[in-house]
Amino acid sequence: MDQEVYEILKSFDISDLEIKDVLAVAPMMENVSCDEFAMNCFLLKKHGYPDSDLDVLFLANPNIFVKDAEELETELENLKAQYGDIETLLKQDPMII
Amino acid sequence: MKIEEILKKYFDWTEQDVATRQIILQNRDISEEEAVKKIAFFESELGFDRAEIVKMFKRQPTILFFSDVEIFERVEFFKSELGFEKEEVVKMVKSQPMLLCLAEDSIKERLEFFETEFDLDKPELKQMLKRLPTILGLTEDTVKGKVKFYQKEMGLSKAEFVKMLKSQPSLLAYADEEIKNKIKIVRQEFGVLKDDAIKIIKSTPTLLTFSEELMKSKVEFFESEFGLSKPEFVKLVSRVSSLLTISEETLKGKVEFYEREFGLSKTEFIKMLKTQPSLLVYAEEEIKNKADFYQSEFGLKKAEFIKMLKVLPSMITFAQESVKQKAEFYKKQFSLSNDEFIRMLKSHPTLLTNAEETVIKKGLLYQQELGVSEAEYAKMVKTLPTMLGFSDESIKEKYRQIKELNISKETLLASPNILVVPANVLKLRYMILRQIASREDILSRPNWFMTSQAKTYARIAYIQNETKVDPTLFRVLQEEKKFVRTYDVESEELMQKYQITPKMIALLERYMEDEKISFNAEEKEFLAKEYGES
Repeated sequence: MDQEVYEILKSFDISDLEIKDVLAVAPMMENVSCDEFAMNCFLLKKHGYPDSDLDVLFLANPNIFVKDAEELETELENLKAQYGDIETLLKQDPMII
Repeated sequence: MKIEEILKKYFDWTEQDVATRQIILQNRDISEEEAVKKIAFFESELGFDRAEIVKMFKRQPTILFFSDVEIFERVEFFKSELGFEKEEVVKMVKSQPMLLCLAEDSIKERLEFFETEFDLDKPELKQMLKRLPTILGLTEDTVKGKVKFYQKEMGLSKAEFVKMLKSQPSLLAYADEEIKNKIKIVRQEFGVLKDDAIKIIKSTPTLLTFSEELMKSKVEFFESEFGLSKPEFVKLVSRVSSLLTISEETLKGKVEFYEREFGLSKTEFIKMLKTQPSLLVYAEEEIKNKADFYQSEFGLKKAEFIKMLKVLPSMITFAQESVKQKAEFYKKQFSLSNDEFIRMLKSHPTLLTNAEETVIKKGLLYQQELGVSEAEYAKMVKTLPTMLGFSDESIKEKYRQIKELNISKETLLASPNILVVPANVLKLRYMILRQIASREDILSRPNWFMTSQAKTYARIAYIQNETKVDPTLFRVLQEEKKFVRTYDVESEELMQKYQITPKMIALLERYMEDEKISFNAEEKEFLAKEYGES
């Protein structure tokens, strides 16, 4: 895993054990660059998901963070148009995306 | 016509050829008519062309003096002894004409030696001989000496050597110095230590056939085409060594195929390749068939399949039967309808990577640790399939937290997502909220655990200190957008202003004494690191 991504995850208070779990469900996390990871965090924030609460979202559905940025943005826009507030939606059902 | 003249006329021998092979030609004779007949025999019966005949008789002129019957017998011997097809024997003879010159007894003896020395069965022996016919010319001492050399130089056990030999018979053909040099080249070109170079060669014996230039060009190609660093390249080829044997043109074609077929950008493809190097190995038809299978089996749109593939590139490698079996297993195990399973699979393709036995064992562990029934566990998995990826250690850790907070089974079933709160902070989140609400109110509020402790604390402090209202759960946990609308201040700003302090953590712990909730040594260590010593 990218060292900088690892550092970000540690800043989310995520333990090494939890990072190991994540790699089992999202093998692509192994190859996500810091820029790509940061971009997806930014997009989530831009569409209303607070970055202070990313930890639980990450552990519930880490695959969100390995998505192509353009694809993630489109999905977030569609969800917003369909359901409204992204924060409410993703906290209720992190697997919806 | 003298034999020398015949050889010059029909087999392009030079004066020098005649001079150096004089000893073979002594007391031998052949008529011009016989030579012409021999050429016709090899052309019509064994499918040689003229150039191949010339080449063979330059290397092994003694074959010229064998009768047609003798040659046929030798071909038949290879067919009956090892099950070769006639065309295969001819191909071997073309590359090693000496095969026609060896006595049958001597060949049998040599084959028996290989069979017993390396524990090879007939098909393995046939395969080896097909790839390296010269092994029949090696003496037992030479072969045993080679095994000793590989043991000493590369630390290969006999079993490892045999394994390598099966995939790369040419191990027996290299000179010792040549092998030492190859190891040196791998070290240099791949940028690894000797032990790692040996490991790479063990997994990719084909490397021994590469020249220095070829190795260099492979590394350069992967660096320039896929932007891989040397360590990434080494990691890639260590996992799928056959990548080294695929031509650059084919590899480029594969990348274009993925772009054409699935709309994958090169950047996306490279990311996937790092996780699943075998993407470059599968034939295009095979990949298309696999994509069609997933789409028809699970009623997926192509875009949905591509989305899944990006998350789990290895899904292209799974056997169709195994995928079908796994789908049936999940449906049965978790009482899922087909639609429910497909929904889970779309958001969580890694379901396909779990071994059935592991899922069952994990289920038992969850049921035992969390005290839930099989049906309740199934319900939790439907909401949070990620929980199937937790290690046993992680499950036990989650359970410890849940138990220490006295969270009931009912609460857990209503909010399985509580299991994905970072274990280090769940207790702290609860303790902070307990400052403003009762235990019952907190646990009955959906997703109370999904707001960070820093934000919750800052909002409570802000509402208490700067507004005239009480910091209720509703106010503190509301969505950011609504919070900003209500208070005209962003939580980020508040988190800068009101930060969790060691003193406040100590106070929280004291406040929670009645509920007998406290931090253990590990949690204290984490909190001290995060917020400073109290």
